[in-house]
Amino acid sequence: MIATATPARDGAVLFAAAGCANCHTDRPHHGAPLAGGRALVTVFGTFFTPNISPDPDFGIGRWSDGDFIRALRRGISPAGRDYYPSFPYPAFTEMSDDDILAIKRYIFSVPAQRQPDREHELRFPYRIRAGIKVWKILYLREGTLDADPDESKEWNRGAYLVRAVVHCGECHTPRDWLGGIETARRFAGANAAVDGMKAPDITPDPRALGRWSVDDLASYLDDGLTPSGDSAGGAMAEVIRGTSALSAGDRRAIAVYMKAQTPIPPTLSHEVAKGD
Amino acid sequence: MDRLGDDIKAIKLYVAGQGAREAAAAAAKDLETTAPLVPGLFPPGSDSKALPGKSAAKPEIWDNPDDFQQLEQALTTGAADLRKTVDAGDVATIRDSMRSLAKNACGACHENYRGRKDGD
Ligand code: HEC
Ligand code: HEC
Ligand code: HEC
Repeated sequence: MIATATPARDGAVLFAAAGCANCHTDRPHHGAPLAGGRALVTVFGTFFTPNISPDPDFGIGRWSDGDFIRALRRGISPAGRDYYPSFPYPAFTEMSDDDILAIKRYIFSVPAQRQPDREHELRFPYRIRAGIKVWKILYLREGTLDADPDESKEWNRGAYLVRAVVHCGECHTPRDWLGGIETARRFAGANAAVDGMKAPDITPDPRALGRWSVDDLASYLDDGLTPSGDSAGGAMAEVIRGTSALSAGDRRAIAVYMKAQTPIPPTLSHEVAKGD
Repeated sequence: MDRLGDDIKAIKLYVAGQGAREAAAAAAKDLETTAPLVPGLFPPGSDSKALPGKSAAKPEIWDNPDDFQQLEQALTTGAADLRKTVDAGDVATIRDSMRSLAKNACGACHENYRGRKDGD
């Protein structure tokens, strides 16, 4: 494995765009960076994110490059435990090894935090970790994303950022009762996606992003302003903190890819995009 | 808040080359006068739990009054700055000023304190 390609600085950008800190820093309670403990409230119960700072005892300071790649690509801990997909490895699996390791280098450059992890509080039967094995067989498609030679370079870059890095679909796609993404309705919006907040339809349907131009979407991912002058809230504001760290070209690539999706009418209650 | 949105929309259109300079100038002026009124908008008891269907203000506003006041202040300062740049007329400077207002005031406040009208 070549571990020199991307400097830690680029790792910081990827790390921001992938939203690692949004989940692994308990911002609502002014928690220390990457010390974990943020509560993720889902229909399956409450997850408390682990400490991923480089502390050797409480964080991931002892992890090898291989350990880190295995966790992000296959959802398996160094001790062989399966991770819950509330850790979005079903998306991160599509990242390149170089990018995954750039993120690791960035994480290992920030201060270690000595904060112990907190147990998840999950409902039965989700409490049983053994169930994740079955879940993985049903839903996890391991492996990096192949470029589509029929599409432009920009589209392919957008696909990579949307699917593997920023994982837009993890929030904006409805899930079935097992927490699997309904691939046929990718980006059609989800109720109670994060902290009970709805993530609206972001396909190019006329009632969703149909009336947003590529520029509208690219600038929204920078400043959070919708074409109607509204400003993004909740989890999307955190996502935008990350996408605004990307280059303007990367934000445009995301917009180009999103505008090329199949339109799906919004199904959520009163969830119609505000673009006019 | 809707008024802030309409003002920003007019300025956004101007920056994108699709709106009139006069409309942007009027909007920037309105934004500057409206911003200092925001602190009166959210009295205790006007949150989404107390007023389901009417309010999208999160109860957390009143748990962190200092933080919320700082954001209101950021809005006032940012709006005044934006008005000056719109008057001066350089589109690139206006874009930067709008971007920093959107991120440091609108987005930063909505991130933690704006939920959904249905009490979510
Ligand atoms: C949507 C929230 C979310 C995001 C975004 C997220 N994680 Fe996590 N992560 C979790 C949760 C929840 C767990 C615990 C899963 C479990 O216990 O099975 C976890 C576990 C981990 C672990 C295992 C830690 C351990 O002690 O075993 C690592 C490493 C990790 N995440 C790294 C990352 C990195 C790197 C990123 C960004 C590329 C990231 N995470 C983004 C929620 C998230
Ligand atoms: C962590 C979850 C999450 C992720 C990841 C996420 N979003 Fe969102 N998104 C949301 C939520 C929640 C909202 C609703 C925000 C609001 O009401 O202000 C939203 C709103 C939006 C909107 C506004 C739609 C409208 O009608 O006003 C757009 C556009 C959008 N997201 C696009 C994206 C794109 C593109 C990505 C990936 C680059 C992405 N989102 C990733 C949660 C997420
Ligand atoms: C100090 C906090 C704060 C700042 C700064 C702020 N907002 Fe808001 N905004 C809110 C809250 C809270 C709500 C939900 C209000 C409600 O539903 O009662 C809201 C709602 C809105 C709405 C929806 C209004 C509706 O009727 O549903 C728009 C549009 C809006 N804001 C635009 C903006 C714009 C544009 C800016 C920046 C120029 C901005 N806001 C700055 C707190 C803020």
